[in-house]
Amino acid sequence: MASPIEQFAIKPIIPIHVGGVDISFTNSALYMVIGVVVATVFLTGAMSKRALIPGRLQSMVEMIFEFVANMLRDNAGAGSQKYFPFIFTLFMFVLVGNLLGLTPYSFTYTSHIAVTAGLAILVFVGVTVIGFVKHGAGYLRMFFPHGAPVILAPILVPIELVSYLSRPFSLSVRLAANMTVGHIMLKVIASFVISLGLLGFLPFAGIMGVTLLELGIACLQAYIFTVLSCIYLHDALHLH
Amino acid sequence: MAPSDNDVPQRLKDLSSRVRAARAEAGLDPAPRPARVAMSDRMGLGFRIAIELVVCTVVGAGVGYGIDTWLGSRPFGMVIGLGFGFAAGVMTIYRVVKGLDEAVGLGRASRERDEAQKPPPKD
Repeated sequence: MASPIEQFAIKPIIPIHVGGVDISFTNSALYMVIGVVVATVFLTGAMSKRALIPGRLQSMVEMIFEFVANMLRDNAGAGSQKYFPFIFTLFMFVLVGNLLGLTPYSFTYTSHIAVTAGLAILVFVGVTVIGFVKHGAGYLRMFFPHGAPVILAPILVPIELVSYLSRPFSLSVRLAANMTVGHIMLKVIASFVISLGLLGFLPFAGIMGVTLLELGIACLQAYIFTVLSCIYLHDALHLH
Repeated sequence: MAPSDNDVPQRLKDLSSRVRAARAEAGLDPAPRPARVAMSDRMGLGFRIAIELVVCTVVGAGVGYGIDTWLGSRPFGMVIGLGFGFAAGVMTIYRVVKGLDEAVGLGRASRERDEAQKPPPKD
Protein backbone atom coordinates (compact mmCIF):
# COMPACT_ATOMS: atom_id res chain seq x y z
CA MET A 1 0.00 0.00 0.00
CA ALA A 2 1.52 3.27 -1.11
CA SER A 3 1.65 5.99 1.50
CA PRO A 4 -1.04 8.68 1.10
CA ILE A 5 1.58 11.43 0.89
CA GLU A 6 3.71 9.69 -1.70
CA GLN A 7 1.79 11.54 -4.41
CA PHE A 8 3.38 14.81 -3.32
CA ALA A 9 6.98 13.62 -3.73
CA ILE A 10 9.12 15.76 -6.01
CA LYS A 11 11.04 13.61 -8.48
CA PRO A 12 13.66 15.08 -10.78
CA ILE A 13 13.07 14.20 -14.41
CA ILE A 14 16.05 15.95 -15.97
CA PRO A 15 18.69 16.53 -13.27
CA ILE A 16 20.38 19.91 -13.68
CA HIS A 17 22.97 21.17 -11.19
CA VAL A 18 24.46 24.61 -11.63
CA GLY A 19 27.21 25.58 -9.20
CA GLY A 20 25.95 23.24 -6.47
CA VAL A 21 22.35 24.47 -6.81
CA ASP A 22 19.78 21.87 -7.77
CA ILE A 23 17.57 23.35 -10.50
CA SER A 24 16.45 20.02 -11.93
CA PHE A 25 13.39 19.82 -14.15
CA THR A 26 11.03 17.98 -11.79
CA ASN A 27 7.59 16.43 -12.09
CA SER A 28 6.23 19.62 -10.49
CA ALA A 29 7.87 21.73 -13.20
CA LEU A 30 6.56 19.33 -15.85
CA TYR A 31 3.00 19.75 -14.61
CA MET A 32 3.38 23.52 -14.48
CA VAL A 33 4.44 23.43 -18.12
CA ILE A 34 1.48 21.15 -18.91
CA GLY A 35 -0.82 23.52 -17.02
CA VAL A 36 0.39 26.54 -18.97
CA VAL A 37 0.10 24.64 -22.25
CA VAL A 38 -3.41 23.40 -21.41
CA ALA A 39 -4.56 26.88 -20.44
CA THR A 40 -3.03 28.47 -23.55
CA VAL A 41 -4.41 25.85 -25.92
CA PHE A 42 -7.84 26.03 -24.28
CA LEU A 43 -8.04 29.81 -24.38
CA THR A 44 -6.60 30.40 -27.86
CA GLY A 45 -8.12 27.27 -29.43
CA ALA A 46 -11.62 28.03 -28.18
CA MET A 47 -11.42 31.65 -29.32
CA SER A 48 -9.94 30.90 -32.75
CA LYS A 49 -13.32 31.10 -34.52
CA ARG A 50 -14.40 34.40 -32.90
CA ALA A 51 -18.04 33.61 -33.72
CA LEU A 52 -20.76 36.15 -32.94
CA ILE A 53 -22.86 33.34 -31.52
CA PRO A 54 -20.32 31.42 -29.44
CA GLY A 55 -20.09 27.66 -29.43
CA ARG A 56 -19.69 25.67 -26.22
CA LEU A 57 -15.96 26.13 -25.86
CA GLN A 58 -16.04 29.79 -26.81
CA SER A 59 -18.83 30.39 -24.26
CA MET A 60 -16.71 28.78 -21.55
CA VAL A 61 -13.76 31.03 -22.31
CA GLU A 62 -15.97 34.13 -22.50
CA MET A 63 -17.60 33.22 -19.18
CA ILE A 64 -14.25 32.79 -17.45
CA PHE A 65 -13.02 36.05 -18.95
CA GLU A 66 -16.10 38.00 -17.83
CA PHE A 67 -16.06 36.33 -14.43
CA VAL A 68 -12.50 37.47 -13.74
CA ALA A 69 -13.15 40.91 -15.24
CA ASN A 70 -16.20 41.42 -12.99
CA MET A 71 -14.33 40.11 -9.98
CA LEU A 72 -11.53 42.59 -10.58
CA ARG A 73 -13.91 45.51 -11.15
CA ASP A 74 -16.05 44.73 -8.09
CA ASN A 75 -13.19 44.09 -5.70
CA ALA A 76 -10.36 46.32 -6.88
CA GLY A 77 -12.40 49.26 -8.18
CA ALA A 78 -11.53 51.93 -10.72
CA GLY A 79 -8.10 51.96 -12.30
CA SER A 80 -7.60 48.26 -11.75
CA GLN A 81 -8.16 47.22 -15.37
CA LYS A 82 -4.44 47.68 -16.04
CA TYR A 83 -3.75 44.69 -13.82
CA PHE A 84 -6.29 42.43 -15.50
CA PRO A 85 -3.71 40.40 -17.49
CA PHE A 86 -1.84 39.53 -14.31
CA ILE A 87 -4.97 38.67 -12.30
CA PHE A 88 -6.37 36.57 -15.16
CA THR A 89 -3.09 34.69 -15.55
CA LEU A 90 -2.95 34.10 -11.81
CA PHE A 91 -6.50 32.76 -11.77
CA MET A 92 -5.94 30.47 -14.75
CA PHE A 93 -2.64 29.13 -13.40
CA VAL A 94 -4.13 28.25 -10.02
CA LEU A 95 -7.40 26.93 -11.45
CA VAL A 96 -5.73 24.73 -14.05
CA GLY A 97 -3.24 23.51 -11.43
CA ASN A 98 -6.04 22.54 -9.03
CA LEU A 99 -8.11 20.81 -11.71
CA LEU A 100 -5.13 19.10 -13.33
CA GLY A 101 -4.26 17.66 -9.93
CA LEU A 102 -7.63 15.92 -9.75
CA THR A 103 -6.93 13.79 -12.82
CA PRO A 104 -5.66 10.35 -11.76
CA TYR A 105 -1.88 9.77 -11.71
CA SER A 106 -1.18 13.47 -12.04
CA PHE A 107 0.79 15.78 -9.79
CA THR A 108 -0.78 18.80 -8.06
CA TYR A 109 1.72 21.63 -8.20
CA THR A 110 -0.57 23.91 -6.13
CA SER A 111 -0.20 21.47 -3.21
CA HIS A 112 3.38 22.62 -2.71
CA ILE A 113 3.90 25.64 -0.56
CA ALA A 114 6.97 26.60 -2.62
CA VAL A 115 4.71 27.20 -5.62
CA THR A 116 1.87 28.94 -3.78
CA ALA A 117 4.30 31.01 -1.72
CA GLY A 118 6.00 32.09 -4.93
CA LEU A 119 2.66 33.35 -6.28
CA ALA A 120 1.66 34.94 -2.97
CA ILE A 121 4.99 36.75 -2.56
CA LEU A 122 4.66 38.03 -6.13
CA VAL A 123 1.22 39.46 -5.23
CA PHE A 124 2.41 40.83 -1.87
CA VAL A 125 5.53 42.54 -3.20
CA GLY A 126 3.66 43.83 -6.25
CA VAL A 127 0.83 45.29 -4.18
CA THR A 128 3.22 46.88 -1.70
CA VAL A 129 5.27 48.45 -4.50
CA ILE A 130 2.11 49.75 -6.23
CA GLY A 131 0.90 51.18 -2.91
CA PHE A 132 4.12 53.06 -2.24
CA VAL A 133 4.41 54.27 -5.85
CA LYS A 134 0.82 55.59 -5.84
CA HIS A 135 0.73 57.10 -2.35
CA GLY A 136 4.35 57.47 -1.27
CA ALA A 137 4.80 57.43 2.49
CA GLY A 138 1.05 58.03 2.81
CA TYR A 139 0.60 54.31 2.24
CA LEU A 140 1.69 53.83 5.87
CA ARG A 141 -1.63 55.38 6.93
CA MET A 142 -3.10 52.04 6.00
CA PHE A 143 -1.75 50.60 9.26
CA PHE A 144 -4.00 52.80 11.35
CA PRO A 145 -7.73 52.00 11.33
CA HIS A 146 -10.03 54.70 10.04
CA GLY A 147 -11.59 56.66 12.90
CA ALA A 148 -9.81 54.97 15.81
CA PRO A 149 -8.59 57.07 18.77
CA VAL A 150 -4.97 58.14 18.28
CA ILE A 151 -4.04 57.05 21.80
CA LEU A 152 -4.48 53.42 20.77
CA ALA A 153 -1.89 53.70 17.99
CA PRO A 154 0.91 51.87 19.87
CA ILE A 155 -1.35 48.80 20.10
CA LEU A 156 -3.21 49.02 16.80
CA VAL A 157 -0.27 49.74 14.51
CA PRO A 158 1.69 46.57 15.41
CA ILE A 159 -1.48 44.50 15.15
CA GLU A 160 -2.27 45.86 11.69
CA LEU A 161 1.36 45.44 10.69
CA VAL A 162 1.34 41.76 11.68
CA SER A 163 -1.99 41.34 9.93
CA TYR A 164 -0.49 42.88 6.78
CA LEU A 165 2.66 40.76 6.94
CA SER A 166 0.65 37.58 7.43
CA ARG A 167 -1.15 38.05 4.09
CA PRO A 168 1.30 36.20 1.84
CA PHE A 169 1.57 33.40 4.42
CA SER A 170 -2.16 32.90 4.78
CA LEU A 171 -2.67 33.13 1.01
CA SER A 172 -0.10 30.45 0.29
CA VAL A 173 -0.83 28.19 3.27
CA ARG A 174 -4.57 28.23 2.56
CA LEU A 175 -4.21 27.07 -1.03
CA ALA A 176 -1.50 24.49 -0.38
CA ALA A 177 -3.23 23.08 2.72
CA ASN A 178 -6.58 22.77 0.99
CA MET A 179 -5.07 20.91 -1.93
CA THR A 180 -2.92 18.63 0.24
CA VAL A 181 -5.76 17.76 2.60
CA GLY A 182 -8.18 16.98 -0.21
CA HIS A 183 -5.76 14.68 -1.98
CA ILE A 184 -4.75 12.84 1.21
CA MET A 185 -8.43 12.37 2.05
CA LEU A 186 -9.15 10.91 -1.39
CA LYS A 187 -6.20 8.56 -1.13
CA VAL A 188 -7.09 7.34 2.39
CA ILE A 189 -10.73 6.69 1.50
CA ALA A 190 -9.61 4.95 -1.70
CA SER A 191 -7.42 2.60 0.31
CA PHE A 192 -10.52 1.43 2.24
CA VAL A 193 -12.20 0.25 -0.96
CA ILE A 194 -9.92 -2.78 -1.29
CA SER A 195 -9.35 -3.49 2.38
CA LEU A 196 -13.06 -3.62 3.26
CA GLY A 197 -13.68 -6.37 0.70
CA LEU A 198 -17.39 -6.78 -0.03
CA LEU A 199 -18.31 -3.66 1.93
CA GLY A 200 -15.93 -1.70 -0.29
CA PHE A 201 -18.81 -0.11 -2.18
CA LEU A 202 -19.43 2.18 0.81
CA PRO A 203 -16.09 4.04 0.64
CA PHE A 204 -16.38 3.89 -3.15
CA ALA A 205 -19.62 5.84 -2.96
CA GLY A 206 -17.90 8.15 -0.51
CA ILE A 207 -15.10 8.78 -2.98
CA MET A 208 -17.59 9.93 -5.59
CA GLY A 209 -18.98 12.48 -3.16
CA VAL A 210 -15.54 13.62 -2.03
CA THR A 211 -14.39 13.97 -5.65
CA LEU A 212 -17.32 16.29 -6.33
CA LEU A 213 -16.48 18.25 -3.18
CA GLU A 214 -12.86 18.44 -4.32
CA LEU A 215 -13.94 19.79 -7.70
CA GLY A 216 -15.84 22.51 -5.88
CA ILE A 217 -12.89 23.24 -3.62
CA ALA A 218 -10.47 23.35 -6.57
CA CYS A 219 -12.53 26.10 -8.20
CA LEU A 220 -13.32 27.85 -4.92
CA GLN A 221 -9.69 28.03 -3.85
CA ALA A 222 -8.64 29.46 -7.21
CA TYR A 223 -11.41 32.03 -6.75
CA ILE A 224 -10.41 32.87 -3.16
CA PHE A 225 -6.74 33.25 -4.11
CA THR A 226 -7.62 35.65 -6.91
CA VAL A 227 -10.32 37.58 -5.07
CA LEU A 228 -8.01 38.21 -2.12
CA SER A 229 -5.32 39.42 -4.53
CA CYS A 230 -7.93 41.83 -5.94
CA ILE A 231 -8.85 43.07 -2.45
CA TYR A 232 -5.18 43.65 -1.64
CA LEU A 233 -4.82 45.51 -4.94
CA HIS A 234 -7.80 47.66 -3.96
CA ASP A 235 -6.07 48.69 -0.75
CA ALA A 236 -3.00 49.74 -2.69
CA LEU A 237 -4.92 51.66 -5.35
CA HIS A 238 -7.54 53.40 -3.20
CA LEU A 239 -6.24 54.27 0.20
CA HIS A 240 -8.89 55.37 2.66
CA MET B 1 -38.13 39.35 -47.64
CA ALA B 2 -34.67 38.19 -46.70
CA PRO B 3 -33.52 39.70 -43.39
CA SER B 4 -30.50 41.94 -43.90
CA ASP B 5 -27.34 41.53 -41.86
CA ASN B 6 -27.35 44.90 -40.21
CA ASP B 7 -30.30 44.19 -37.91
CA VAL B 8 -28.64 41.13 -36.37
CA PRO B 9 -28.44 42.58 -32.79
CA GLN B 10 -32.13 43.52 -32.91
CA ARG B 11 -33.07 40.06 -34.17
CA LEU B 12 -30.98 38.41 -31.45
CA LYS B 13 -32.74 40.50 -28.83
CA ASP B 14 -36.12 39.55 -30.24
CA LEU B 15 -35.15 35.91 -30.28
CA SER B 16 -33.94 35.94 -26.68
CA SER B 17 -37.12 37.61 -25.45
CA ARG B 18 -39.25 35.10 -27.39
CA VAL B 19 -37.21 32.20 -25.95
CA ARG B 20 -37.60 33.58 -22.45
CA ALA B 21 -41.37 33.96 -22.84
CA ALA B 22 -41.72 30.46 -24.25
CA ARG B 23 -39.61 28.94 -21.47
CA ALA B 24 -41.66 30.69 -18.81
CA GLU B 25 -44.87 29.47 -20.43
CA ALA B 26 -43.64 25.87 -20.59
CA GLY B 27 -42.49 26.05 -16.95
CA LEU B 28 -38.92 25.20 -17.89
CA ASP B 29 -37.35 27.83 -15.65
CA PRO B 30 -37.28 26.56 -12.08
CA ALA B 31 -38.54 29.03 -9.51
CA PRO B 32 -35.60 30.73 -7.77
CA ARG B 33 -34.75 28.59 -4.79
CA PRO B 34 -33.65 30.04 -1.45
CA ALA B 35 -29.89 30.51 -1.66
CA ARG B 36 -28.19 27.40 -0.40
CA VAL B 37 -24.58 27.71 0.58
CA ALA B 38 -22.53 24.96 -1.03
CA MET B 39 -20.72 22.58 1.27
CA SER B 40 -17.37 23.57 -0.22
CA ASP B 41 -18.18 27.24 0.47
CA ARG B 42 -18.69 26.59 4.16
CA MET B 43 -15.60 24.41 4.28
CA GLY B 44 -13.69 27.21 2.61
CA LEU B 45 -14.81 29.69 5.26
CA GLY B 46 -13.87 27.28 8.06
CA PHE B 47 -10.44 26.70 6.57
CA ARG B 48 -9.94 30.39 6.15
CA ILE B 49 -10.71 31.11 9.80
CA ALA B 50 -8.47 28.33 11.08
CA ILE B 51 -5.55 29.26 8.84
CA GLU B 52 -5.88 32.98 9.50
CA LEU B 53 -5.62 32.52 13.27
CA VAL B 54 -2.64 30.18 13.09
CA VAL B 55 -0.77 32.16 10.46
CA CYS B 56 -1.21 35.53 12.19
CA THR B 57 -0.01 34.11 15.51
CA VAL B 58 3.01 32.44 13.88
CA VAL B 59 3.92 35.57 11.93
CA GLY B 60 3.61 37.71 15.06
CA ALA B 61 5.86 35.33 16.99
CA GLY B 62 8.26 35.22 14.05
CA VAL B 63 8.53 39.00 13.88
CA GLY B 64 9.11 39.07 17.66
CA TYR B 65 11.81 36.42 17.35
CA GLY B 66 13.46 38.37 14.55
CA ILE B 67 13.52 41.52 16.68
CA ASP B 68 14.98 39.45 19.54
CA THR B 69 17.87 38.13 17.49
CA TRP B 70 18.47 41.61 16.07
CA LEU B 71 18.39 43.55 19.36
CA GLY B 72 19.30 40.70 21.73
CA SER B 73 16.21 41.31 23.84
CA ARG B 74 15.25 37.66 24.32
CA PRO B 75 12.57 36.67 25.27
CA PHE B 76 10.53 39.89 25.44
CA GLY B 77 10.17 40.49 21.71
CA MET B 78 8.77 37.06 21.07
CA VAL B 79 6.32 37.27 23.99
CA ILE B 80 5.01 40.65 22.85
CA GLY B 81 5.03 39.54 19.20
CA LEU B 82 3.00 36.45 20.10
CA GLY B 83 0.43 38.65 21.82
CA PHE B 84 0.18 41.04 18.89
CA GLY B 85 0.03 38.12 16.47
CA PHE B 86 -2.84 36.52 18.36
CA ALA B 87 -4.67 39.85 18.50
CA ALA B 88 -4.15 40.31 14.76
CA GLY B 89 -5.47 36.80 14.13
CA VAL B 90 -8.62 37.38 16.17
CA MET B 91 -9.15 40.73 14.47
CA THR B 92 -8.78 39.20 11.00
CA ILE B 93 -11.23 36.43 11.88
CA TYR B 94 -13.68 38.99 13.19
CA ARG B 95 -13.46 40.82 9.88
CA VAL B 96 -13.81 37.67 7.79
CA VAL B 97 -16.85 36.51 9.74
CA LYS B 98 -18.50 39.92 9.79
CA GLY B 99 -18.03 40.10 6.03
CA LEU B 100 -15.92 43.25 6.28
CA ASP B 101 -13.26 42.26 3.77
CA GLU B 102 -9.71 41.47 4.77
CA ALA B 103 -8.56 45.05 4.37
CA VAL B 104 -5.87 46.02 6.81
CA GLY B 105 -6.93 49.21 8.53
CA LEU B 106 -10.54 48.42 7.69
CA GLY B 107 -10.50 51.54 5.53
CA ARG B 108 -12.80 50.46 2.75
CA ALA B 109 -15.16 48.43 4.90
CA SER B 110 -15.77 51.16 7.44
CA ARG B 111 -16.08 53.81 4.74
CA GLU B 112 -18.65 51.73 2.93
CA ARG B 113 -20.54 51.19 6.15
CA ASP B 114 -20.52 54.92 6.81
CA GLU B 115 -21.80 55.58 3.32
CA ALA B 116 -24.50 52.97 3.74
CA GLN B 117 -26.01 54.64 6.81
CA LYS B 118 -26.42 58.17 5.54
CA PRO B 119 -26.75 60.73 6.99
CA PRO B 120 -23.64 59.86 9.02
CA PRO B 121 -24.09 60.19 12.77
CA LYS B 122 -22.17 63.03 14.41
CA ASP B 123 -19.50 61.87 16.81
